[in-house]
Amino acid sequence: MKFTRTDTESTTSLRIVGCLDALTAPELRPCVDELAAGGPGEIVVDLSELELIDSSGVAVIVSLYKRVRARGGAVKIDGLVGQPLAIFKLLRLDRVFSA
Amino acid sequence: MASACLQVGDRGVADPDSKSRLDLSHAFDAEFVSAFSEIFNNIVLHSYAGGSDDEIVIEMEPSAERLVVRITDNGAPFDPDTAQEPDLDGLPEGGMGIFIARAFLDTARYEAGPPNHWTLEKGYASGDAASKRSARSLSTDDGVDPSSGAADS
Repeated sequence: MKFTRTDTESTTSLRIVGCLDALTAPELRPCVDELAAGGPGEIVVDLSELELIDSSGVAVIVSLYKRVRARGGAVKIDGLVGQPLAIFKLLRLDRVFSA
Repeated sequence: MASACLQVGDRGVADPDSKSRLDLSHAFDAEFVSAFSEIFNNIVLHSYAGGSDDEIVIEMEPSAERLVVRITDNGAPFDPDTAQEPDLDGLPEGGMGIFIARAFLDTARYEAGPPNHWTLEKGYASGDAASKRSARSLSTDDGVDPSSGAADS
């Protein structure tokens, strides 16, 4: 798993590539904690190159969403396909993040 | 029947720097890999929570209609009463692993030991379980042994 954070004036983009699972999710936690502690604004999570996600990976994304929303910000998910899309649909998260 | 044996410490079986991409474009592959991953991680993270050099045995039995995978471990058995269905409307951050496995499989049967046995079964024609599963709540008619269960991450 690799991730890249890109900041613009109004939006932060977080691109996650590879497998976000129980093994790799802890590597993303510090970045998510930093994003969650930031000011209100929009965060776009680009998952177009995410190949696999498990419940541990979902937990990190949901944690980001909840904390950013709590401080008045927004989180959008872009590029969900394949296995990650199947997981998000099963957990009904596709509706949350497409709003 | 094919079998494999992994040591509990071998969690990094996938090379994180590998250039190869997983091909999970077929619903069956995506759903079985998802389910297997959740069960396997549950064994490593919960049954062997204290760490171990023990082995986990994985047996695969493909047939023309379905794939059966049996996983045997000697870790701590799960408490059957702890596998609660997550409240999806509450955006849970835990308790989703066993739910995912059950949803994506035709059968996810657990027999407490040790040795503990998981039997995972899925027919090749039973894809797109996600949409079917999300439309109804968990019940015992999906092949999950109602007398068994598991802890969850």
